[in-house]
Amino acid sequence: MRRTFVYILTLLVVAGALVWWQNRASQNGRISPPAGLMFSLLRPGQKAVSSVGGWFGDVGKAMFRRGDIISENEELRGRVADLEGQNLRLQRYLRENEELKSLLKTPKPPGGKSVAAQIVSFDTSEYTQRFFINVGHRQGVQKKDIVYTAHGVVGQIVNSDYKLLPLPTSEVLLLTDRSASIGAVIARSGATGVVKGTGGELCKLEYLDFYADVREGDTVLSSGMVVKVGGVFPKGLVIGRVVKIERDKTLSRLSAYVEPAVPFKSITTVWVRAGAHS
Amino acid sequence: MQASPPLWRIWPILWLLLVLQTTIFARFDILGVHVDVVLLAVVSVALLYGMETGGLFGLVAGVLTGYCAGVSIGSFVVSRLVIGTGFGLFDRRFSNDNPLAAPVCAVVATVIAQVIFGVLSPGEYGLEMWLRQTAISAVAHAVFIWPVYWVFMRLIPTPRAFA
Repeated sequence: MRRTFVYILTLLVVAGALVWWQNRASQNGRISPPAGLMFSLLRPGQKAVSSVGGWFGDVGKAMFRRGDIISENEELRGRVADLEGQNLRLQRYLRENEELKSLLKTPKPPGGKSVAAQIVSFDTSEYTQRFFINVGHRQGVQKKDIVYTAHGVVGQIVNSDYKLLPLPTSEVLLLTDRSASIGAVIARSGATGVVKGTGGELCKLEYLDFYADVREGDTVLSSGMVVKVGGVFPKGLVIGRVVKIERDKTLSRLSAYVEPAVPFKSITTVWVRAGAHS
Repeated sequence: MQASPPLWRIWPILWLLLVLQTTIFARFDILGVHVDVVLLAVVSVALLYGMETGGLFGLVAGVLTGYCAGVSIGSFVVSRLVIGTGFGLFDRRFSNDNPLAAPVCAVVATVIAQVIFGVLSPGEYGLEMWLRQTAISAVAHAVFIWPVYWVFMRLIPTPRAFA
């Protein structure tokens, strides 16, 4: 019993030390060395699984489309699925190529330098909206640096690793996360408000004037105003499009739901505006 | 003198499950909920290999899952440690003789993990959302525990002392 108690106590002390280390690093916008080492060890497996998973997905789609065809020749059906899988992979490479080309043409926000990054993994909690990219402190990436694509705003850096870690890693807080917020302006009418993440697929545009001119379909841009955790997004970046308006006459409150311009589930590469506010 | 089971194999399996959790399982969801295969691994290891192995595995899995989640690391560590040591205290015959032991423990572990996360996390998650997430997660984990439990049983024979 005593031995069990000592064992559990030892585990708790070790766990507490690791948690304290990471929390302390997070307060400075960093990833602690143990966490960075873990990301480095996971990276090769994540790349391999993503590649293999994509291949099986292509073949699976081809098999599903052919699923209702009854074929007596297994070899011919496999060859057809393999050829279609190859074709789908080539189409995916074409889409990625187009995406990268459009990234190069994207006008850069002022200040800092633009660093291209790949998304390597997603967070494991269902209550947060974050992902990890393969650039870090070594490339000049720091906490609060903005992340964007050709479509618009993705989010901002909340943690980046130390220079000495083998593989650079940074954590990105998405626009749709509950703790995200950006000063916003309606492109057509100039009405200002704050776009906040809801934890779902849409964001909410709040603090609008009750009589503000807002319509469904309006484009929402960043206003460059300082708000809470945000305040580092320069003016004029595309946030999304108004899809629904809520008018509460009792409380004289107007708010709107915004569909983000960036398709978060399908993007694989992003830009980071590194060091823009250093 | 019986040979000790190759418990070192739990670590590469943990590495593989973390890779799968942050790639494939992160992209697919069931009614908005992601299956937590690492949590299921903690339950399996605890039931199969006892309190000491389950506690250590839970600690490491909790720390690594917390790093990958990026928020509320402490809640992941505490929940996995509690699950690893708590379920490890069960007699091996409990999971050996009861075919529903693994899914029942998976459901209980899901509720424990969600309660600890809800208590220790600073986020503003409504009760309705928490209940919905917990219910769907529990059902999904009760199903997905089987392949995870089977992998550990096949790759790492349990110590005869527990049989």
